[in-house]
Amino acid sequence: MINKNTYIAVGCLLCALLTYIGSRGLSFEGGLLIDSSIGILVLLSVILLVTTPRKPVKTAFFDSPSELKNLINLFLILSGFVFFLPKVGFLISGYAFYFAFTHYISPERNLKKSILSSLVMVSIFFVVFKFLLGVPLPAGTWLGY
Amino acid sequence: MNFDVLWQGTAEVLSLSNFVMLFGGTCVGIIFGALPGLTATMGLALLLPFTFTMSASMGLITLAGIYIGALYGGAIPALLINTPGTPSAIATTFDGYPLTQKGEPQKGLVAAAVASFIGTALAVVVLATSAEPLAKLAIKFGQAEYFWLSVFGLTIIASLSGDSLVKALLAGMVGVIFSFVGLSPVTGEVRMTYGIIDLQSGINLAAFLVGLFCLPEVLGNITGESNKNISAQKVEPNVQVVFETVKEIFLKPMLLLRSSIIGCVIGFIPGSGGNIAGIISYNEAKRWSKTPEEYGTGIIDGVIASEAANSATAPSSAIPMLTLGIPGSPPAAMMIGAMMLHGMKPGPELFSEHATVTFAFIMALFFAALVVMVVGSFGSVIFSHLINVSMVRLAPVIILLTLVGSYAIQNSVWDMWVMLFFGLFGYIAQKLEFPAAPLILGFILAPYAEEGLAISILIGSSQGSVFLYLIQSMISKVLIALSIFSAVWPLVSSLLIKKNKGVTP
Repeated sequence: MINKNTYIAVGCLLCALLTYIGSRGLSFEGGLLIDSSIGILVLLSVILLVTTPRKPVKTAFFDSPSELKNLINLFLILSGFVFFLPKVGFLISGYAFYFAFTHYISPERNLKKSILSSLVMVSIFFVVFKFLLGVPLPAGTWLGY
Repeated sequence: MNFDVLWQGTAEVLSLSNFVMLFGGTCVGIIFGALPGLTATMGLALLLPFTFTMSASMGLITLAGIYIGALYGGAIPALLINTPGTPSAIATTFDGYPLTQKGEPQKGLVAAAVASFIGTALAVVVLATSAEPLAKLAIKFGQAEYFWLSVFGLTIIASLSGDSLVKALLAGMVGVIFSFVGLSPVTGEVRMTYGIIDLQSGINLAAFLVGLFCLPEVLGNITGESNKNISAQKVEPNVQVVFETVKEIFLKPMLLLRSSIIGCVIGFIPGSGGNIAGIISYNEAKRWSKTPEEYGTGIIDGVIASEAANSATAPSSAIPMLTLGIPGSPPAAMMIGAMMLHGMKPGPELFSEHATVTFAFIMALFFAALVVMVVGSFGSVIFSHLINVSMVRLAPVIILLTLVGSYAIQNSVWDMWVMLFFGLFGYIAQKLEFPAAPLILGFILAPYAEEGLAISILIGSSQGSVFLYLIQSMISKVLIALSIFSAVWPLVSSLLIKKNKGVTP
């Protein structure tokens, strides 16, 4: 029976495999704990895998059908912000991100409200982080400023 | 201890101009701590140049305020949005956020402020009275001792296991494996970077924490069909709660004392910080509690344990700093820098040639904690209103804050990707009921264990026996005994509970 524990065990086995691939050829001191950690991870994963069929766990992953869609869309918005931040700078990417995020999650989808809140909040963030806290926010390489 | 110098130091702190700077520094520190990604070290680094033009005592008093303020500030987002503002506040989220979800954020905020004051106050007493003998003990902490300290820390996973010990151990091991990414601390070999150059510096702890704790919580509230708020109940904060909570806290003297002592002990060991102290203290509070099953459900005991311990580390990390010139933590290194810029050389002469300024700094830590208690307790009436704001309005602000905070750690866009990755990881882990607390414990403690073990093997081999080197000191023996006790205790206690249940008709 496939359930949450099965996913965890398989995920941990994959993690062990990736760790093995990424740590080949190390010296004794360099790989000292890594090898034993891989061993323990595999052992525990197998224990979880073997004991799982006898202990069924609730399998529903998402609470509603729209949850996965929302998760993907919100992550795309977040990733878009991080991707464009060094290219177009904090202000432009910030306004775009805040507008898109607010507009997407807001139930009323009010365009004016979303634009206004994005302009106000991102500008506040910019002033606080750039001028008060001295964080050098990216200016943007594409626009050359 | 010379009480005259102590009074002189106190008088120095309480002079109007110095106290104003202390108050201002503490408030700035609270803001720094409360912003995820911004740490006490960053706050100190940013404001250090402003203290150059001040007198030595005023400069150090201001920096003490920033340091203590930032340690408390980290608890505010930990309690309200499940995001430790600084790594020290990790264990505060364990009970703090459930407390907020129950509609009692103000209780948590007051408990954190008062416990921070008590932890700091006790550690200041230790610093003022026994700095020298404790400093001698601190330098006896070698690699073998660090290894056993981390092993002791890792045994806590057993008590953080919840419903499944195997899953908790697996989470702990995954955390350990994440800590291996980057350069080997002993040999400098590149590990698990898969050709990505940014991974060579490892996974940043703050980005890891913010991603794992904050993003899943916020996304979990807004991705469903109906948007949820942090607390189902409308919170109506009032001053009465402050007094009730203070009364409740002082009814737990043993918890306060034990947590503060743990913080003091962990704090004066160079290299170990408030995050380890908070987790160990939380675990001990749970172990000694008559109702351990209530931990994690939102009780102030968990908040008190974490905050008293992490706050106590600040004055106690000053012990090796003031007496030996060894910076026990990054903020302590900043303090040493400030002292040297004012012509004060850390070491025994601080207590003779610059005694008044040194004791002014020590007393500033105490008074900063007092300011934290007052501002934190009464500020809770304002901070708690945050919970009543709809998640639709709050989510974009929190997420932008975590993203910019992650960037601000090292001015690196890469850390934002790390934060997003662990946000997604944390979201999936939450859905799979894969516990996050052991994962963090493994991530934090594994580097200590790895470095301690590898160097112990090298030293032990040259001395003839690795095994003997690992167990020869008294500190190692005590830590081994504590580790065995800590690992076996959950098993013994569950057997005892089962036995008692069997006897009860």
